[in-house]
Amino acid sequence: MSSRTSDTSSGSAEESTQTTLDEEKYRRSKLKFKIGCILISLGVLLTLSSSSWDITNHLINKPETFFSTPHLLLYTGVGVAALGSAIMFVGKRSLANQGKFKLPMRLVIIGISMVVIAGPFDYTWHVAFGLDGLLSPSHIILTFGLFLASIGALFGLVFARNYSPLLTSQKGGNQIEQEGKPKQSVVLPSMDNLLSVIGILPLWLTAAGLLYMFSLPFSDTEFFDFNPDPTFAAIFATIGFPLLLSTILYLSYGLNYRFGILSIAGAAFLLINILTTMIPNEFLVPTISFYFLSIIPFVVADTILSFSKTKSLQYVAGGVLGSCSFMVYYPFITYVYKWAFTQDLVFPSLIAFVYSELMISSYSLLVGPLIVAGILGVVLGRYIISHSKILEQKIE
Amino acid sequence: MMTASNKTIVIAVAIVASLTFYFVFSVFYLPDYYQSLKKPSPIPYLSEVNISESNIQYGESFDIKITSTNLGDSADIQIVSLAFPNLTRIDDHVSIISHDFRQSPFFIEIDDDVVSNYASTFETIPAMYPSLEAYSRPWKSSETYHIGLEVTPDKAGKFVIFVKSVGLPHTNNQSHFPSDGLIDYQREFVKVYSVNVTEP
Repeated sequence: MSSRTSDTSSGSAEESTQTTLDEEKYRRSKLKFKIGCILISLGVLLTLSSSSWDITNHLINKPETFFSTPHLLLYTGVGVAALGSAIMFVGKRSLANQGKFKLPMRLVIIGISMVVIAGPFDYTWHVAFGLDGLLSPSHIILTFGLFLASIGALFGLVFARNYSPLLTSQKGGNQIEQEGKPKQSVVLPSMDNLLSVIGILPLWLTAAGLLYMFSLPFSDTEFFDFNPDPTFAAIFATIGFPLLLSTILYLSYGLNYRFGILSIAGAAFLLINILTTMIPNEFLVPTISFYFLSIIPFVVADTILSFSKTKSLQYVAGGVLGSCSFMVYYPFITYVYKWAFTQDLVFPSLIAFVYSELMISSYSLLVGPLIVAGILGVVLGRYIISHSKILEQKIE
Repeated sequence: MMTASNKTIVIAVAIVASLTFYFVFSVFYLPDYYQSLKKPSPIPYLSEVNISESNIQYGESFDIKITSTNLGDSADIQIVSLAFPNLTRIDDHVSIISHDFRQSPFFIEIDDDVVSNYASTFETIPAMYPSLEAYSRPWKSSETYHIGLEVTPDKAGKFVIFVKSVGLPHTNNQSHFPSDGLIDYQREFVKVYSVNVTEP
């Protein structure tokens, strides 16, 4: 063996060692980045679940102090999300090809900054004007900040999943459907599937929170009346809620292309709603079994999307999801339509009665628009998935 | 072995059956079932209305102690109302000594908006005289709450006090106390108490 050959093999060994070190460094950075995204998603999830509990608490107990258990959990969630954004930032700094992660990072920084500003603003508002309603300037800033942070965290999770630092080719399951046919050969690790559910749920809850703000009549306070116009609220809810439900659940399917993820995301949403809006109200506990029946259309939509790739059947799945949104957004949806039809509020103990009256009298009128909005949700979901992939490629 | 077309048929049948079950239960069966259930019926009751003096001199004060309970189902809100038709303002003449209600009692001055006729809606009328409302939200079945007041009449003569309690949702005639007697400007029954205030 010549000395030249020996030098070459020594160089290769060094390169190999360096490559291993780099791989280890990038793996750690990616892990930090992902942990940051997960913490943000979990923090936002805790914040929004606590907000939902807080609304129920206000309806049932009318707390007179800012310092309540739901508020404590709400701001704990904010703290977890803020910690997550710091970890995400540290992870992102060490990653090669950082440009790819700029967008999620920016969304998270803007979102968390808004949330951090909203906290003291909310407290100041309470001090100045007493207990506020659902829609207030501080709540808008808080919820929109959480919305941006949850989008950033979801993007971060998806981009990190598809990111392989030392390879030019990207791998992963976030593939666009080619003429309506996703590549079934791509099989994700189950942990990544679950992570996408953790990423999707906060986005769903924050978007639902924004819709509730502009449709629920909970914003008439001593100094300000921010309650929505009843007709606007009903139209807004009739279009917005099925559109959101269908879009989000289509995304949960489209980010994985695996049967079960849509159903898990839907079941998790139902469970959060049961825990935060139904169990605290003793009069709603007997209706939990009715509410959980909505897992059926989720599984049906999941089955349709997983076993048939034709556009028309995807729209059928959207229609099924849209048609059940009146049930999925129980019990708060009761307040929206009661407000629209009679400009009256509903006593917590009478929600099931009023809801069933609305179901008997109005569901037949609502189901058409709900189905159409559900179909539009699938159109929107397909658009978001295809454009997020294009966006990802452009950033690279 | 199941062929692809058979598998499709089985899935389609399962989907149709599941959705039929879901919509029949959610849209027809369960709403009818919930409609058939008994609505909660709170039964407010004032078990003690204690007025410390029946005669006082002008400038003196007397105490009122009230104990109220709910003998029926849990109420979303139950209110104990004390009204003072002789007063023109309440905050200078009535003070709360003690209470154990879940929320803070509040004063209602003349012309403040109040609901009437046991209604729960936003239809309000202006208050004709001052009053105080103590309430718990929720007020569970069998729970008892107390309030103590010190009252200083603003002139000599017969000083009248109206007392009532209302449970919400107001689902039947048991949801208010008393169930007969004098009807106030809110078109609700009240129990009447009085204290003679003499010139010194």
